[in-house]
Amino acid sequence: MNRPARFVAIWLVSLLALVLLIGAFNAAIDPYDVFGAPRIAGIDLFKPRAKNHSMLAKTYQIERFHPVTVLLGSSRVHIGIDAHGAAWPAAMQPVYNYAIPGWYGTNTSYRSLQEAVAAGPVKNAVIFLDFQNFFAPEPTAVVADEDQKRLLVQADGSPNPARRLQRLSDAALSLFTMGALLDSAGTILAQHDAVVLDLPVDGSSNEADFINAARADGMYDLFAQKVAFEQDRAEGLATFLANWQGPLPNMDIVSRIISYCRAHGIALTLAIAPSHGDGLELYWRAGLWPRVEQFKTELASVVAKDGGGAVPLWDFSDYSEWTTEPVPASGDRKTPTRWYWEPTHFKKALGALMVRRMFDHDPTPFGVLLTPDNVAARNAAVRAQRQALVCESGRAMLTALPHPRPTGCDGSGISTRESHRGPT
Amino acid sequence: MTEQDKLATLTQILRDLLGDDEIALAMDTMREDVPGWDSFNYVNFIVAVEAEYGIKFRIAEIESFPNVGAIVKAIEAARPR
Amino acid sequence: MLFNSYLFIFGYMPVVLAGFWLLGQRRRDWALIWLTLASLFFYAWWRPVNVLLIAPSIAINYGLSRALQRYGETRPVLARVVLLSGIAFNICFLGYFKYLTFLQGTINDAFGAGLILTHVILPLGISFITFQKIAFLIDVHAGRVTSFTFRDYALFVLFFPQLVAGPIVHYREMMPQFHAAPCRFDAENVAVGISLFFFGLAKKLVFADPLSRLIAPLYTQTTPVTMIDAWIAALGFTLQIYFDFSGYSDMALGLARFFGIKLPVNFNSPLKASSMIDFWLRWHVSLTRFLTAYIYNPLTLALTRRRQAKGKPVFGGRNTTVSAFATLLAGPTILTMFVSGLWHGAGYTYVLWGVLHGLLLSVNHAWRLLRPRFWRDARSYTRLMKPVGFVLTFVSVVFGMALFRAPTIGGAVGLWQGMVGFHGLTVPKALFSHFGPVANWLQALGVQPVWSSGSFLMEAVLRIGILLLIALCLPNTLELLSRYEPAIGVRPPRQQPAWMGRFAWTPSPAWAVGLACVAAAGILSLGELSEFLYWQF
Repeated sequence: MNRPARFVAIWLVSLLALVLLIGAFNAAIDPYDVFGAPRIAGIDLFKPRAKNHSMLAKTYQIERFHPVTVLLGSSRVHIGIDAHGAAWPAAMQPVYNYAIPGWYGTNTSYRSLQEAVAAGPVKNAVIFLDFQNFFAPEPTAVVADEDQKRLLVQADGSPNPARRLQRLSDAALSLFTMGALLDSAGTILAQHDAVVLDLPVDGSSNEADFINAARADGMYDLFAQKVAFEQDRAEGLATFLANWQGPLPNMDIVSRIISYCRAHGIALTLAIAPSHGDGLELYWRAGLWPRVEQFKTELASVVAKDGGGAVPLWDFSDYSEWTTEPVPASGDRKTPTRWYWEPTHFKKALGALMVRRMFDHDPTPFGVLLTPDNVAARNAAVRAQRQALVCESGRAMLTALPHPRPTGCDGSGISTRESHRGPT
Repeated sequence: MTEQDKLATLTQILRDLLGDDEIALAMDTMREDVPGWDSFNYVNFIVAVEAEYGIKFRIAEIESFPNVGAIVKAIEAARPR
Repeated sequence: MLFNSYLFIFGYMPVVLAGFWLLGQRRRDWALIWLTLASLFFYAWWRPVNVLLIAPSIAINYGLSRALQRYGETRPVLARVVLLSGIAFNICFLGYFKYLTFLQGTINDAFGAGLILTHVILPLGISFITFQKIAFLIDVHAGRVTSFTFRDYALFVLFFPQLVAGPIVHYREMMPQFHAAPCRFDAENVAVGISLFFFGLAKKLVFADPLSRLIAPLYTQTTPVTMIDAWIAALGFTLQIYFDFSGYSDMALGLARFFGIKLPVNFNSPLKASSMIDFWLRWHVSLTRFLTAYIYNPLTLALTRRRQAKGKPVFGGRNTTVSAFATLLAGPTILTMFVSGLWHGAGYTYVLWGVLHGLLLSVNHAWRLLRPRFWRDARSYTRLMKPVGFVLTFVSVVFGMALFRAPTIGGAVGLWQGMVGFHGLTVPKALFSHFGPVANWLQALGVQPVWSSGSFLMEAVLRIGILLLIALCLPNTLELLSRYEPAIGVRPPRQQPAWMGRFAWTPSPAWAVGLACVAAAGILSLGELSEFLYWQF
């Protein structure tokens, strides 16, 4: 064999060997928990890189997990509620946290529920709804398309024919791509960090990202950054709902979910997730509060009508001591908060409290069962809470945002106590 | 006029054009060998040569000169204007 | 079909190569016909309908070329007419598909006419194909090409490696190669082809594309772009298009080499250029060659002869007059670059980009003429001023690229303003807080902290830094493979640089393993898991 021919042969063999080696490496490290590779301490025990591929990772996880209870919602639930732990009654375990972070909306919860039911002996479903993500339209992006193709069943319940091809593609792209290789390497390197982000087998993410951010920047910065970010979203939502007439969008999906659960003998519990006061104040500012109240009213009505009284609807969204804890001062990196990381994401402690409230008769007066009869009173009560807290005692909200006076306070006395600082 | 005379004239034309008095051309010098003698200057060089000898090259010729020597020889054969 | 796709690399190429080599064992003609058909298939893959467009165009051009061949010597006037109508036909063909919408838009802007813009789908490679056909007609008319068959012509027009992104090739540099090619498996050609192709693939997928994704948001954001971000946007795009184009050029060279064909050089480390003139001899070399040969040279020649006939002063080196300079150099240069800009894209930004480069080139030429008047010694001048020239050229190119990328002239102007500091200077707060006491200083100077992620800035700086290093300091693929003539005319320089002894490419086991790593990087970058996308109301 002459030199160039040897070159070609060596090249070919080396290339094949390299690609196969990399594939094997990615299969072993399994950065997105697609293959269920054994989790070895120091190597791939924690899966920090599953973060941006949650729908992918969780779909494969749940099919291996076979849960009795499935938990659904947005990133609030993904991070804020543990699927393991004493808060859950033994009869409901094992619980799988199938909440998807990001702006996947109500329809995603419905499809995820179908997937969960097809995967495991699901008897209970706990779905957290929140005002922010509720109105997301039908997913049409390429990513969402693949997410749908990957599931066990189609929307009408029939088996999904596109599944095999999509899963083949998932496997190939999780083994033989640069992205996967870099993520595998990143996974190994991250194992020895003090605090590592993880997606455990039961789907409940740990709070590592927030813990690290709090240590680096302090709670004040975390709140302020999120407030600045959420302001645009609130305004976008306000524009979307500005001239909306009739029942709010996606309420019909809730009906479908309720019928589905009844048809499959699944005990359904619905809950409205709590934002921190800073987040609620953004709704006031954007003029969205009437819509917030409409959301609760319509939800209570739909749940009562379709659920026939068998579906509890919990409302945890208010201005109580758990949702309005004060934010530590700017530059303070030591003082922790108790219930919230930032306006959208509550801590696991609050998540556990909510689970105990719903399933363990915890007497703590946080959260209320909503019915069409009491929803009006509840709305008024929340307004009164706000009036007392924000308008009358002049409690500063909306961390770091300059605002002369809170909206909608009926002209009552506003304290001029300056308590926000930081970059303007 | 001998080829060497023509070569000397061409050298002077190029020196004037490129502003470099140290340029030296031989019969086998190629364009790439002379710093600064790019395609932009080439046309101007050709035109200057045409003006000097009162001749006119065909455009196909102009592009096909492989070296200075070819230009020198072509001056003889070129049609007068 | 893109070169960088699973289908092309694992499906199309193995089949086409196998067919080519197997048929070539029997008869070379069959292999070449196979290659022509394979190229037609490649062309049709993009949009089958396009075949119905390109086939008549090929037939018509072939017919006109035959006519030119017949009457070129005997009936020059008719030949002229045929040539001009051929050129006109091709330009109209290109113009319809590429420029109709632009033309309508321009008429609307200029005269307020309410023309409804027709949406025309651009056939693949039409810019390249059109220029090549025009060049062919001119070559036949001028007698540079004397004999050809329809099979030859079809292969020349459709040869797929240079269909997508050039280079623009001349018939007389291609056909002799096709006629001489052995059309059999040749290990050296394959080794060189593999190296070129996968270097190119990696450049595009590993260098260019991730950078492109990183800086894309900067070009769509609605708020003004501040200074650091503006430079990241401009520099980032310059490097993105650099490695994209460099990668495609290498891929084209590699693909052609598999068939035993060498294409002309199209890209030669343009960012190392020390003057604008130098830049255009390194960037899109085949286009510069084409425009110079078919627009600039004939125009300048004709204008010069006309001036001479009228007794007006013509170009005289350091004795050139201003009017001679303006008419004989600046004018044709700007016009040629205007055409270049227009060719690159149908839009005001591209045209302005072309004209801008035309002006810069004219300034460069003027400087070269004036310089001897106050700095006699060329050698010392070069030694001292080359770095300055490099910086000036680099900055000009980067500023010019903003026009190439921004969707409107206004957008480009906004970016330029950002680059010189009109929109202020912001630093992510996360980084700002690490500056300590200097932070207050900076804030007093007007540097603002913002709630944006510091990780974007760090990733951008890292990527741009590394790519700049590669573009400016490392030898390019042509230089690396120069001992094996990777492109027409590329040979090692007479004075071989120091690194060539140890690091020049040869078909050694070490390079085989090295190229396997490069190829793996490229192949692994062909696809990726879709990343979660956020939508927003």
